Amino acid sequence: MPPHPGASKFSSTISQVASIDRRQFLKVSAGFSVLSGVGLRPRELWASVEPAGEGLVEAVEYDLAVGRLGVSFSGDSAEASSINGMIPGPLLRLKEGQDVIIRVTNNLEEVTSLHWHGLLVPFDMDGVPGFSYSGIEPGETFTYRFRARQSGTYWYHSHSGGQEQRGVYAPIVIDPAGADPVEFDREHVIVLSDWTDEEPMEVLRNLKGNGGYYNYGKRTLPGFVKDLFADAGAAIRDRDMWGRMRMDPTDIADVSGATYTFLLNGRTAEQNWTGLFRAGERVRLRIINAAAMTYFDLKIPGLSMTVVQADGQDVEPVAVEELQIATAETYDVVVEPEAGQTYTIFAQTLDRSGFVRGTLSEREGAEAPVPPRSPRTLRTMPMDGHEMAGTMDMPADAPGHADHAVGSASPTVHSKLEYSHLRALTPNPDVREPTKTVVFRLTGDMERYFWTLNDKKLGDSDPIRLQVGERVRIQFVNETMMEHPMHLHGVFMELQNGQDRAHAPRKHTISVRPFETVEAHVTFEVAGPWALHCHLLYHMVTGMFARVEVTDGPLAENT
Amino acid sequence: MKAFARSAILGLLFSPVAPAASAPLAAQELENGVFHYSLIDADASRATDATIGRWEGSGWIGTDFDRFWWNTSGEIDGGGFYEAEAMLLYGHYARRFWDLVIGYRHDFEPTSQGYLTFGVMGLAPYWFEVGLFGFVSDQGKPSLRFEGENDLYLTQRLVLQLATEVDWLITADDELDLGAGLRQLQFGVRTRYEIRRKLAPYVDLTWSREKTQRTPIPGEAELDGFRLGVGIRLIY
Repeated sequence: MPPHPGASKFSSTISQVASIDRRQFLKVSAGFSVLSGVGLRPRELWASVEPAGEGLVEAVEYDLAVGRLGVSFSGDSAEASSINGMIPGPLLRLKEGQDVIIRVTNNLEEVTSLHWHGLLVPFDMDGVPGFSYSGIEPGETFTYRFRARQSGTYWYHSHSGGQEQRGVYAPIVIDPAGADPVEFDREHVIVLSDWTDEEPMEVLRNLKGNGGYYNYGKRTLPGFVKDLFADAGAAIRDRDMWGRMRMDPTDIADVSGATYTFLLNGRTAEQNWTGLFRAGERVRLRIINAAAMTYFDLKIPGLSMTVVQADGQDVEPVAVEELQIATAETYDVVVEPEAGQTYTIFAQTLDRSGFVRGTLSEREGAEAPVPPRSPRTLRTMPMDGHEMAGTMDMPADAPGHADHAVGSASPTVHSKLEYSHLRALTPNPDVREPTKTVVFRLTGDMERYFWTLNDKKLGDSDPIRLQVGERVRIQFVNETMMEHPMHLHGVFMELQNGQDRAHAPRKHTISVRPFETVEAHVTFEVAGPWALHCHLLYHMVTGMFARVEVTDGPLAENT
Repeated sequence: MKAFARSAILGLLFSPVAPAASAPLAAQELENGVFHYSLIDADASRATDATIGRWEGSGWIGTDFDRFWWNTSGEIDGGGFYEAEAMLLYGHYARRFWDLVIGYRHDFEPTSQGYLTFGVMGLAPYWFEVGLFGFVSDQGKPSLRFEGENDLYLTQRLVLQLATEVDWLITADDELDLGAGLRQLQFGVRTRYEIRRKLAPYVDLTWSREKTQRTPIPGEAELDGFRLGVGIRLIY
């Protein structure tokens, strides 16, 4: 397979798709009507797309259309983009081993694309303009064809411009071919996202004019005076350090609740999406963070959550009170709600500028108390090379919030999920020592507002050249003050999180904290040009993107 | 205003546009996109017996690495323009936080004069927006200017902006009828309330000392000393 998606390769793919044998295909794309407004009931719509019956089909077909949609999430009317007139778009329910045919029609007036986030597909089916193909022109239909090689919870979204911010995202659930290691009686898909009435390019323009444009949690002069009275030396040293670096410890999120309305399955906190359960049921929640820029801290007061899957890959169950879900990650959790109880699913943003909630109940219309948002936090600097930078409670006005063991829970329930808790349920097939190391320094200029890898934008950087089967160590070295959810296409990254290599969790998206270095091992099985990028939309589009060229022949000379 | 230029006359004509993607790379479509920014502060103040209008505008248009910057400032009273100047510069991102610029400055008032302009501007430690510029007038006379400013947040919307500007003539300038040395020194405290980021009324207190000619005319109104102004900031 040639490493470059040349024009000839592209057209041959088209003809292959056109000539495939369509026997026994079951058409599941049950005419999604175009709904306008926010009165969508994604749950009901999703329910209309049931998994294909076992043994009945070899392939499943979907017809998807990307088009405009009028919405009023913020209370004002705005124009969104959507898949089949829904935000989120329709759930694709697949079965491991199944062939999938998806026809995507572009009803927008600009080029679009759909990328199957986390799915192992041939590179020319990956849906990344400039990598897989040139995108889908207005009025045109592109047919994707691939086999579902895996199971789990994934999602799909536009990989063009700001369309993902505008609503072009949706869930994918792939049922395992064999028995599911997770026992559950009922499941709900939970898609978290962020919406703004502003055009994505206007958001980016605002950030380029002023990197702190959306930050209404800045440090103030009165706060400094307060800190001076508390500990003058510490207050001065602290301001001195941040001032010298020209960095802002309150810069937790580039885009905040100042413009965002946060959504759970396309519903605002007020609209309160509700998932039903029956007494005694084990309920599986498939949580997807489809936000453009937002990290969420999610909890369900009164319920501990047993994490059973991360990024679609089964992990050994780990019970937590709360989990942080980075942009583009997915987590599956199992909860056991008690009869007669109603619970709030509470997802607050990392910068505490907003939240969204939904409800788990035995009946529609119920609601449980909504907890207050936790105090805002300040970023901290690593004092030495070993300590991880993270966030700390704001000293001036924030009492410490519980980040340690929760007394009421059993000792095995962690207060908050950490990456180190994740342990792959089934062993990784390849545990060789890597023979090559690729370092990605996560870089950028917050003031000018652009982001880079190894100080270079995609267009200025040389591709990383790898071979199929080669064992590669990827190091992400975060030199910025922001978290970066780093997403690699075409392969799962085995996150080196302290578990033995055979049980390193497989991730499609790895969140790298400020000044942290994270290592992952990969073995590409499929040749092609693959994208590696930060999944924060405005980081990606300003240049935090690299091209990984994987060849099944000998390595080309680096130019 | 930010210490130096931050907008572009051209900026008003353009919206953020990505270069045509003939061979699109997913991220490249936008990573070299052209964006723009414009800021204008305009206020009125009372000096001696006249009401004086003042403006400061700046902006840029361009990519992250290459931008055209513009900058204009001036004062006007009942008798017409008292001071007016405009700059148009090309700037290149030299390193993190810093741009090197080169271009042209034209003073319309008090004396019509053009200057070759070059300089460096950016963000200094402790969040000081600074600019240092060298000028060579069309008469070959060199001069320097330093601008600096810093925002202090009193609340999330009430912002105290400290600003200074120093103009220095390296040699005597007969066109201006000024000797070598300090031409102008200015300190300002501008307190704005950001109704929105792009709309902020402000109160400005400026102290300035300015040489207008070698031998002041007795009785001529001087602008030295304190002035209190009320104005508005608009950002586009």
